[in-house]
Amino acid sequence: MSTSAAATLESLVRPFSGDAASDRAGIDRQALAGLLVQLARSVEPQSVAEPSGVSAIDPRLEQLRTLLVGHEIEVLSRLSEVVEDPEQLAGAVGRVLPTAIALATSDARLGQALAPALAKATQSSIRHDPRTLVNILYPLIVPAIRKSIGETIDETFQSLNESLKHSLTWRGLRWHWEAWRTGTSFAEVVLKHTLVYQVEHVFLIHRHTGLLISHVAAENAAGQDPQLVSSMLVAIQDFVRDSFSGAEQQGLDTVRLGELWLWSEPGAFATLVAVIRGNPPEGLHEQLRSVLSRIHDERPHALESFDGDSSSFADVEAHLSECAALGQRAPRTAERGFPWLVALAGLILMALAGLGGFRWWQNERAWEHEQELQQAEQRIWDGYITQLQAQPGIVITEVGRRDGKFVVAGLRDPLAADPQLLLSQAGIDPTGVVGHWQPYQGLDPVFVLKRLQASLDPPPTVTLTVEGDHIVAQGSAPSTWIERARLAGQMLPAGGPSLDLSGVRDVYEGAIGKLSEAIRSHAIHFNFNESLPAAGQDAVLDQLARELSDLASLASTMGVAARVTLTGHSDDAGNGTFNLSLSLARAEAVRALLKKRGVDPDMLAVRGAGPLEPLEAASSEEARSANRRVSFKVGIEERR
Amino acid sequence: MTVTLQKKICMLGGFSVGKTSLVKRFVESVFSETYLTTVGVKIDKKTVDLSDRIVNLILWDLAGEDDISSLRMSYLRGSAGYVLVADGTRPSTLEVALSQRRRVEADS
Repeated sequence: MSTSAAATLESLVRPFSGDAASDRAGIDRQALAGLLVQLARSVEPQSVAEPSGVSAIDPRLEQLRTLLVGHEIEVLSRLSEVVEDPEQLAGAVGRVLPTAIALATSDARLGQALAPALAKATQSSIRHDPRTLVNILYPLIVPAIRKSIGETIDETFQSLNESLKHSLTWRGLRWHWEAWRTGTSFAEVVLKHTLVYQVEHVFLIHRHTGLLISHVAAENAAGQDPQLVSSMLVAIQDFVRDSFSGAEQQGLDTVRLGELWLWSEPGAFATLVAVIRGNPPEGLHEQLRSVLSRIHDERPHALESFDGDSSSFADVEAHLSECAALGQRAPRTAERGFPWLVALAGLILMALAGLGGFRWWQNERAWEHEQELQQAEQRIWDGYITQLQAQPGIVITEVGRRDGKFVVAGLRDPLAADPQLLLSQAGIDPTGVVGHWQPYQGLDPVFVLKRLQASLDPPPTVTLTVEGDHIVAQGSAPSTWIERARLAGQMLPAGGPSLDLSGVRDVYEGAIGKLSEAIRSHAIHFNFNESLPAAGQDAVLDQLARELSDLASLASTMGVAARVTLTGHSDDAGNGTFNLSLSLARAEAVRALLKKRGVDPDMLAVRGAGPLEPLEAASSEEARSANRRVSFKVGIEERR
Repeated sequence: MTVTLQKKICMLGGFSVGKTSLVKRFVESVFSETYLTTVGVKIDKKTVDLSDRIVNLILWDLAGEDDISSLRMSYLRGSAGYVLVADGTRPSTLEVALSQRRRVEADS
């Protein structure tokens, strides 16, 4: 069929236009008749039939049409039905749409054409039910958010750990100063000093093939063939992913070997692997991701279709070099001059060591000194105990040391040496000694002698001495003392020393006796009814005074007391009471006269005897004259 | 300027058929063979200098297992080709190689 014929047929099946020459089926019968005439002429050129002569309702035409294009009309009818029914049309398009899109994927226009509609559809869907988008994005976003939060927490803890670790150290104090000086936070300063690291290698690896797209290494960084290393990294990633269920969609993002870290940041088509030496900050993850994201943004199609030819990725090296330049070196301290701090610390340490040594030496010396003191103390104490034991009248029953004090106990005669006094003499601190002494009387002759001396109080003319088992008294003493001493000697306990008084004589047997007799022989006479001595008695008084003075002096020398009693007498004439008073007055007068002559009045006692002690008992005038007198009596007593 | 390409080639075959020995004939290994028993693969590189380009063949020498199911298919991802190795003196190794081939093609 020629082209014009086809066009004519196409016009025949056009939808009904409403012309008068067309029937309900949309056939232009006039045109069809004309066409048939033309066909007839091409078969029979002499045919003269005119199309206009064809009847509009000629059934033959209908039959002819059915024969010629009946099938096509039927197909076209079904197609028309499908096209005109939206539901059927949607079903038909839906059946071929996936294939059509798949075939047109390489055509960028498809994406461009679909983008606005998809955008609107997406917006509409989100407005209608936001959960749809959430459900779509959930598997993608949640791991990303989880990872991001994890890294943030790690970064926070890293900062916190480092800050706490160094906050109370000397270095920490210096960093506090630096933070204050530079106006930065302490955590930042700590991280700057502690997180020393260097990115040594950066690999950009194609995710699908595991082939190396690009690699950059830092200066002096050693390593194996990057292509082998990258493939091996991928193999290990696959190995880990295959070995542990639940990690199919994830990768091995961190590997640590000593101070070497491998950090892997996965992208849509490529993975960035950084080999880091040192202690990297968690924030480095974000920097690596940023670089990887830029690479993907710039070369998404090239990365997706990478087939092993990395020549077109030369510009990627600039990005990787940016990563390889990352690092943080330990801040260099300022020009190091002489390490004054170290020297100072050394000096302080040496001084402390010296001080410690000196203190130790001092302690040793003190200990030795204390030992020596204790030994010396012990020697002194032993000497003291020996001295005590040698003392008469002391019996030691216990010696020891208790609660840091010396203890001594025993029996002690009150007349024995005082242990406290001996302590002082021995040079021992009495406060460091506890003594318990029970009193007793010893029979040692010395103590017996002492006790006798204390009780008898012998006059100076008597000496008591120990001779063997006897106490011997020698000298002269008043008879009263001699008698008292004799009684004391008899009271001495048996078994002890005895008192020998055979060497003591009575003082009357000597000069005192003679003077006493001379004084007793004198008498001072008085006239009748007179209380003053008669004339001619001065010579007697003078003589008497001399003898009394001699007696006092001698008695003092001999340690005895001489007492002279002056007794006044009267005659028997007259009243007895008067005579008694007169006699006392006469004795007083004589004592006064003797006092005038230098006699100690204390040695003179007076008394009045009246007429009761007459010298002569007769009543004659001679006898009465003899009886008017003052007589003298001498007594020798122990000195009180 | 000479173009340099990389291609991933996997060495497949049964246990002890000589895959590693075959690789050794052409390349000097960098990694230890213990990788085969630990990770299950050892990777070597063979550079082939063609007239107009240089091709780096990254040879993935997979640990040979007679059990087909133990083959780690993830190791074959992105391969440009594979070499099936069998021991001519052991017909069973040929069967293993063919089985592996069928599995690779089924998964590709």
